Amino acid sequence: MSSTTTSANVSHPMPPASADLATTWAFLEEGVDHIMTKLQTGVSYSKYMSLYTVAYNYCTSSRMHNTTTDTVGQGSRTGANLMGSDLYNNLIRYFITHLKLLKDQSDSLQDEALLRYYASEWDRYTTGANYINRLFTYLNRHWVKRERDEGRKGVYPVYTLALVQWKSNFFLHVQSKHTKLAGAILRLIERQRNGETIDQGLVKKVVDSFVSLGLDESDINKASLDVYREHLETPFLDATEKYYEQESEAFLAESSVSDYLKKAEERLKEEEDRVDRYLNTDTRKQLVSKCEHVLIRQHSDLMWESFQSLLDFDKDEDLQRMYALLSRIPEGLEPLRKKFEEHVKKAGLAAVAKLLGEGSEGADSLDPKAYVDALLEVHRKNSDTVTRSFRGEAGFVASLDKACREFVNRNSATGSSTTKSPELLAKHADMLLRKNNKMAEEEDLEGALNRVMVLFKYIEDKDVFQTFYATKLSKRLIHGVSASDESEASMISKLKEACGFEYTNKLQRMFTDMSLSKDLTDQFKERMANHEDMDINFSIMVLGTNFWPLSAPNNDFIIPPEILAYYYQTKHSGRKLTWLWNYSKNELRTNYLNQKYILMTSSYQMSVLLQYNKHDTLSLEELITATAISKDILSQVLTLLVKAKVLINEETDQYDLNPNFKSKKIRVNLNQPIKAEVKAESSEVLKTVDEDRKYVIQATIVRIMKARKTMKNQPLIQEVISQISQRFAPKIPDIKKAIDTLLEKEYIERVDGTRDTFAYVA
Amino acid sequence: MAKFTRVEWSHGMGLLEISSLPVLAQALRELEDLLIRDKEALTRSASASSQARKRGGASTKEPYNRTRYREYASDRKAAFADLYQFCFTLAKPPQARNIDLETAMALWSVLLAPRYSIINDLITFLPVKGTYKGANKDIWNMVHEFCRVVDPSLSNYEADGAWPSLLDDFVAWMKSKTDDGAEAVPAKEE
Repeated sequence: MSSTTTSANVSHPMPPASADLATTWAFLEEGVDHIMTKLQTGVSYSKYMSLYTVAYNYCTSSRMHNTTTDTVGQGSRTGANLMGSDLYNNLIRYFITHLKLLKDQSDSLQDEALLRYYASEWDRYTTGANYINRLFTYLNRHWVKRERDEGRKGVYPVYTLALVQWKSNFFLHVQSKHTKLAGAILRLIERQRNGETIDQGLVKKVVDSFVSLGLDESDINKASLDVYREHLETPFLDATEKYYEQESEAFLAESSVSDYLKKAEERLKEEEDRVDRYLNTDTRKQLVSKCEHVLIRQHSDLMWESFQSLLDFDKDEDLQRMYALLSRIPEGLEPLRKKFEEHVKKAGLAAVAKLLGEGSEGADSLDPKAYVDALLEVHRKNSDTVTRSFRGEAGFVASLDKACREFVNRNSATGSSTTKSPELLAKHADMLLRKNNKMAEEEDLEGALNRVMVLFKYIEDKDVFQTFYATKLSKRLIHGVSASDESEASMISKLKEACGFEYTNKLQRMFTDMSLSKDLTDQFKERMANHEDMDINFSIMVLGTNFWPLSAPNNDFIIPPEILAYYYQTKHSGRKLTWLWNYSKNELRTNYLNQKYILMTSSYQMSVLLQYNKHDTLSLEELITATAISKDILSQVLTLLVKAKVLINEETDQYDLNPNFKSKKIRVNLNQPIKAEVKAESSEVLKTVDEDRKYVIQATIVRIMKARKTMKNQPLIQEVISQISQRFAPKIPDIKKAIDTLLEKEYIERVDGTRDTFAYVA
Repeated sequence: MAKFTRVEWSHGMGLLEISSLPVLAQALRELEDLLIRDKEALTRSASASSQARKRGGASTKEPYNRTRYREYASDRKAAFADLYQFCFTLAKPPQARNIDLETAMALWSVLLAPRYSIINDLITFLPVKGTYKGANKDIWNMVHEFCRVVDPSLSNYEADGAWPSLLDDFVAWMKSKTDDGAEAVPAKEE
């Protein structure tokens, strides 16, 4: 470094400490110019030191001959100030001259060439200015600082001064010609957007200079983006908007929406990268929101429109993209959620309609499994869509739930009935939990039960499900056809989890009764073992009336003397025992035939058949007298027996035992449900439900009123609805009727002088 | 139902200073005109002078003690409300909570119909509907309230107000009737 600098030293010998301005500046200017224009040739340390010393000497020495010759007439200003100001002004003059050169050279340059020139000059200039700045440290530290402290505008540390000069004498000059500089950058960016490769480093350098040129007058150490904003960011954003407006229009004119989605996604990513690569990070937010506006919001109508067809064709990836894009704008998703809800609802309704269309039979004999599977399939599919394409976003989950609740409770199979779905679901659950269910694998069954719970969540009339479920459960338990206790318990615990202890209380009591009954039967058998003449196997279930949804038959029935069961009475006196013959079943062994058969019968059938122990032929009248079964039921019982060829009915009302009865199986199941019973069951259940609801509503009102003491009509109704809606959707007229009833029973009263306020009557 | 004890009766007549049927009839007529038919109240002088002439003018003595009458005249609303309440208790069998529907309708036609013609519609409606067997205290009170506050056109009836369902049904029935008859009448007039 040092060897090359001797020539400069020679031309201007270092001036003495007391040298005047002209001498000093001549020496300094030469050094400054060297640093600014040909720094690459190097500056020796001694040269640098001498420059520094001269600058220092000038500032300090001038203070010594302060108030002598030079400063006369300069008012109250001190010498140090004056001397500093001379140096400072000379520096300014130097920069102006220096920049004039650059100005002239740049005039003929355009676009990339201009940028290159600008960038390389900028590099050189700022590096030089940095050195100069250090050279004039003393000036900065004292004169500049004092000036600034005194509030003088337009005085900056030397480096800043250099930048200010660059800005006003070069930068603004170039920019003033149709924003030549920024324009060149923008054109370069546009070329990059069009797919060309550009020199990103160049762009970055120029852009950085824009940032550096920003100056916060009040605090020069603070970065200011005003130059960057004014000269680059704003035009850049405008250009971006225009560019993408045109591009997206043109693109959509000839491409599909799903291609556009891809394009928009890529573009957004590109722009974000652009910020990272060569723009100021401050621009990111505005750029992104601008792009979102142009690329998404301006085409959101179109996206919303094509959403449906994407759903229809299961275009998962496109849906994902659309979701991602639209989620960027605040109002983007709501229409999608609405459409999605509508879509799911339609899909659900269509699935049910299709199911109805397939089976020739109407909604009455809908197969519960097919129905449940159809609903589940719609739910599964759309739930997958939510997870995969919409990232499980809460709004879409809500839409899915809303739609499911709608089509699960109201579809072409349910018609206007709100009880059909819970009924079918309960029947489906029953079939799952029965022994003969083909789902042998425990895990499959568990899964199937979980799926039942998925739909259960959407059922509005949970009490209807509860009643049907209880009825079915009781049958499973009584007839011993439950697949496994574990599965039963698991299902009940699921229901309990969903609806609380009260919901499953009765169901659990049923299990308790079952095990108690088993003990009782065992004890009974033990006791009976002493009576050797008893050739009968007898088991009994004692079931609490309150917990079992069973009703005793209304008709009388003479217990065949073959059956004896006094045991219970002797053990628990004072309990009322109601025989539920219609739920029992029996096995009879035949001994009048060559082949011994075991006939599995209902109690009615048994009592009829037992009559034939004494007779071979009986008339209908005789049978009625002997069994006390009502004629209606008896004739149905007999028809079944005749059909099974156990009895022969050759003459009207005359039934003979068939001596030639034959069957391939040894165990013959005669116990088939009588039609009337099956049909009655559903309506029976629904009647129970209706009755229960009345009490539930009344109880709820009383509970609320007891807590609140007084309440207005409307809030009361709202409260009732919100408390009950977990079990079923109460109808307002029903609530009003309940209020009427409670007024009448004087649980509540109208507050005097008001019409719509009720008070609890303690 | 509707029993007065002898003690009650003689106590009441004593207060009113009535000792003959014609005077009792006159007192009742005046009361009906005042509370049910909503006629002008008798002024002290007019009644006094006309009575004076008839009787041969012994003094300004009235045919019976009108103190109670004048009390009623000063606040007819409260007086009628008392009467209306009294009628419910009077008509109700001692142990029951309700009065049967026929009695209720008969009382309404006497007590309310003269001033509120909509009662006639209600009395037509109830047997047609057929599901209501009696009127409990709440229904009894609310029917009066209904007459007082609801416009005869039913335009200001709020279905989500706290009216008993009997009145909801009645209004729905009325509206369906008018809608069938004259389609032009919109359901909501407000």
